[in-house]
Amino acid sequence: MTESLAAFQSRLGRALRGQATCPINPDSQGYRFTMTVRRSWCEQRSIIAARAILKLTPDGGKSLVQEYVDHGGGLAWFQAIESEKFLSFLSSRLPDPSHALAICRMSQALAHARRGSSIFKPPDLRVARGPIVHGSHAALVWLYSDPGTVMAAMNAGHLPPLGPPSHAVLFAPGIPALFREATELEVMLWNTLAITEAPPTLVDDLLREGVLMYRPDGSC
Amino acid sequence: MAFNLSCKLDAPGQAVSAGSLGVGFGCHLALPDALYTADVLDFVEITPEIYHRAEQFEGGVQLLPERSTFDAARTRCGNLPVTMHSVSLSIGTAHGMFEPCLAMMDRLRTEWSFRWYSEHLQFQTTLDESGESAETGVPFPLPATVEVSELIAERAASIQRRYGVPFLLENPAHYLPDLPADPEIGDEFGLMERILALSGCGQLLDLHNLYCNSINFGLDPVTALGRINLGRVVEIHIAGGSWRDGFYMDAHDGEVPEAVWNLLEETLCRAPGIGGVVFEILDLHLEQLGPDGVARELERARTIWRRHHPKAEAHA
Repeated sequence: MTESLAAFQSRLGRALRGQATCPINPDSQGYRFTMTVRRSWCEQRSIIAARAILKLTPDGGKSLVQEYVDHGGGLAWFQAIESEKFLSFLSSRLPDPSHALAICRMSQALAHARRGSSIFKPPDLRVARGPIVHGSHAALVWLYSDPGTVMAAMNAGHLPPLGPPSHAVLFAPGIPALFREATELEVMLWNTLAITEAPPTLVDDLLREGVLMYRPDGSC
Repeated sequence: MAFNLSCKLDAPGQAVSAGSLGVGFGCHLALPDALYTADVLDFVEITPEIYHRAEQFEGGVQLLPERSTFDAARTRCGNLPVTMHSVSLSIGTAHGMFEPCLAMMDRLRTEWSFRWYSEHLQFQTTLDESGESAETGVPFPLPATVEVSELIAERAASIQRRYGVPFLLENPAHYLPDLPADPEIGDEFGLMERILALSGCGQLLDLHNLYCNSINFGLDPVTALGRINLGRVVEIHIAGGSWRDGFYMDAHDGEVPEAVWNLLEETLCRAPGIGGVVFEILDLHLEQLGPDGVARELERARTIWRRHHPKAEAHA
């Protein structure tokens, strides 16, 4: 009698994670080739997730992709989910500071803002609702050169020298393109959340964009 | 399992009624609009996941339409009939199908009419140690067992009822000849036959997958075709493939091989009631084949189709 489907799949899943013997002959040519294809798919998903960032790393990102896949990465069926996982992995591995890490953080912030855009509704500003915090799908990312220069340089294959952080970019679900460059005042407000010291119109604008939001529970 | 087998088994060879469409093609937005006219093809096969993005929420995953590409796809299809061919259902996962895929199809059903819906007879998730769904990374074929046939048949029948259109299961390409099997089912051919008989659903016969498996398992493709109950086949897929490490892969990377054209001719000759033939190619390889190359493959498929559907040609 053959084992149940649930038992078969559980055993296969554990074998794929290196935790059990495989219910399919692991020494067969067909199984080995299936594993080759699987590895290739996992690597491709990772590369698609961060092609531009990987180009900025010493070996074109090959070793980072290998490390990620060796630790069980690259499996997600949907590219958006895989991208989120791989970018998270990269953000913990890329040199800080670096252009690559800045672009990685931009990619993460953009994905986060896009996710928020499907549920974001600007608040009713006529009703004051207590403490203001960072928007739940907002981020501020520092670049080491102006964004246009960085993008053009990436395409040309060489980046400008790494100076001090010079350009701040805001990401939020209510910004029409989901991102824009931040002003000095906005950066200060983002860093301090000193709402009472900021011009009320600026605070209102940032609330409408989802850069800031009223704390959901309303408590201090 | 509380599933009434007897009523469906009474009519094992009965064809699923789906109507005759002709030759179809996927919706590739990179290709020119001119390809998507009744002069070139008869229907469009939509892979809905392409026009949706997966988002993780606390309760799981949702597939949300990417409005710009979704609307572009709808515009591209114009008045051409549409079929749906999803890729994420994982109908063979023991602990349950991928519900967000069904939720996506539920929404599509209300806003975009489709003639039939198809998926692959495979699984791509298992349960991990903590009881969470874990992805396998590539789809896997199913063991040919009685349990599997009954589980899939029940699910397939419920999907067919849910959408009120024929639901088709596609025979997968794979490289694993030694899967577990019950003697009364035998192999993947027996599994498909049994599921279709129990469920009343149809088959999407992927001739390139059949060809791949035949080559990789040392079978004669025409003999393999003889194992298919063509009375249940509603749609056919054709595609190109390539060799790697001694295996012939279902790569969807170019022109259809001559052997698969021959299988198409043979199939349509024996089963003229089939509803449609779709040429498949991945976006990644479109540039290599080019719009003219795609049009040539579609025209060749149409020539074969018309040879076996003279009435449809006269009507056209």
